[in-house]
Amino acid sequence: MKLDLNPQLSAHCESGATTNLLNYYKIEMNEPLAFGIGAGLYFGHLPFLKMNYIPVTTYRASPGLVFKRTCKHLGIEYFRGKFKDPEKAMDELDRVIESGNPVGLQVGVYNLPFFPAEYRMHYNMHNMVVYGHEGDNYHVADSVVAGEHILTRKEMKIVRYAKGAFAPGGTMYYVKSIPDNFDYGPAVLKGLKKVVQENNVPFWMVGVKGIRFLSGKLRKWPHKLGDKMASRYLGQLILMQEEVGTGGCGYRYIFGAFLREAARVMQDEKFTELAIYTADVAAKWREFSYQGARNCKERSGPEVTYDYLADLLLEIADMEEKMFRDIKLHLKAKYNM
Amino acid sequence: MTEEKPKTNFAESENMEIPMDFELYHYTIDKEGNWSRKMVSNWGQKEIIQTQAWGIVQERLNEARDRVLSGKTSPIDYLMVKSVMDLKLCAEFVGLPKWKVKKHLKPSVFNKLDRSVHQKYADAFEITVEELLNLEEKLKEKSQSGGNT
Repeated sequence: MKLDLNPQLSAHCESGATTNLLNYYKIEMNEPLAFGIGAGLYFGHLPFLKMNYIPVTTYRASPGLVFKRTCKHLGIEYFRGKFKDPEKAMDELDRVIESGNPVGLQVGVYNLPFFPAEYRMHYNMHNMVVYGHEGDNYHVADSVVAGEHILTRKEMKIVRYAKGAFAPGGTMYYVKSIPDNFDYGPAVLKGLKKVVQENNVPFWMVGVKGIRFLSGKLRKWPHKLGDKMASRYLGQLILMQEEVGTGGCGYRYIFGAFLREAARVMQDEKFTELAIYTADVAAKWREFSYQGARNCKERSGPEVTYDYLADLLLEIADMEEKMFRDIKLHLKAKYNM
Repeated sequence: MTEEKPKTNFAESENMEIPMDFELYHYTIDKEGNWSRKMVSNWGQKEIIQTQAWGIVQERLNEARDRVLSGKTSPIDYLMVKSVMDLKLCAEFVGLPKWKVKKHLKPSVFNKLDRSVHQKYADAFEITVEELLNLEEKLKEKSQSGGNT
């Protein structure tokens, strides 16, 4: 059985999977909208969590939240859960597809056969949609890699039970029922409010504070780790920011696009202004990665000083703070939220 | 019964050639605030960043090979690095406690292991037990024939 799903490519895997799932139910949705309503924008520098022996920096909300919040804010009923027993997880997957619902899965990319080799790390926060099931084969729509993919049951079990940090543990999610009519307006506002809240929590590793925290750390890298390791730390930082499914500059551009969508939905030109400002923030991030990458050529010393990069980050933190404050004030003044 | 093994293992970290043509969507916003997106294969400095990332793996791999060939560690060390794992991840994949895997990194311990444990490791790295036990020879051949340094 193969469902009539028209897979769209996207920049960010989870908002892409959400878009694909909702589009199947004829809900008008595009990637920036899903990303924004799901409040996907985030920042966190987590030195206690390491990937390839290098501290993790994240630019988006933790996996699963985008889908969860998009559904919640739109009033859609959904299921999302893990399974202890792999066999049970696979049977449940079969059952839901047979009942005519496409299913989103959180998987690890390391064992995904169709994934391009250079991106195959032990990274467990990838999302894809399964929309067909014939015997032992599953039809998979990936939101990043183009084309129709087929996975066997065995491969599916392996990727769904990948190991490591943020192990998916067979996580699957699908839409249970949709309301007859819903409003995008309140959902957009809720998403915006959530983003502002999350990026201003009083915890030094995340949000705007997290950027400042990273800036302080980055300043010390060359002294603490030596030039070679410092450049590797920086390399991973930029890799996460530009390469691993971000749509550029750690999702800031998608968020700008979402603000533009918000202006369209709410008929409010102020959001367009904010979108243009967000583009400036994103451009600053791009400048950071451009300049930073110059330090990442192996076997050569740093071309730009780490102090300069740290200052750039501080500037970005100030700009983001202003961005969030503007959104917050506007929400309060006009929508009383 | 021999089941066909799933072809999910990824063995290219030994000779990683990074194709630069994989395209991702990138968003842009113009002066009026309109957004658009297009497929972009390179945001500017992709080559440097990717080369560095896989250069690290390559370097670790060379170090691990030297360690295995000089008899300091068992072949598990090499396979672990090849699969871009650290000790904790390797233990999870094999299904043994971390301290045991650490012990098995010693060649003297590794060589005395039961076949069933060898099998566990072989399954985790998706090779046969024979390949696992003969890995040292293979590495030796490779390094003699110029290898892939």
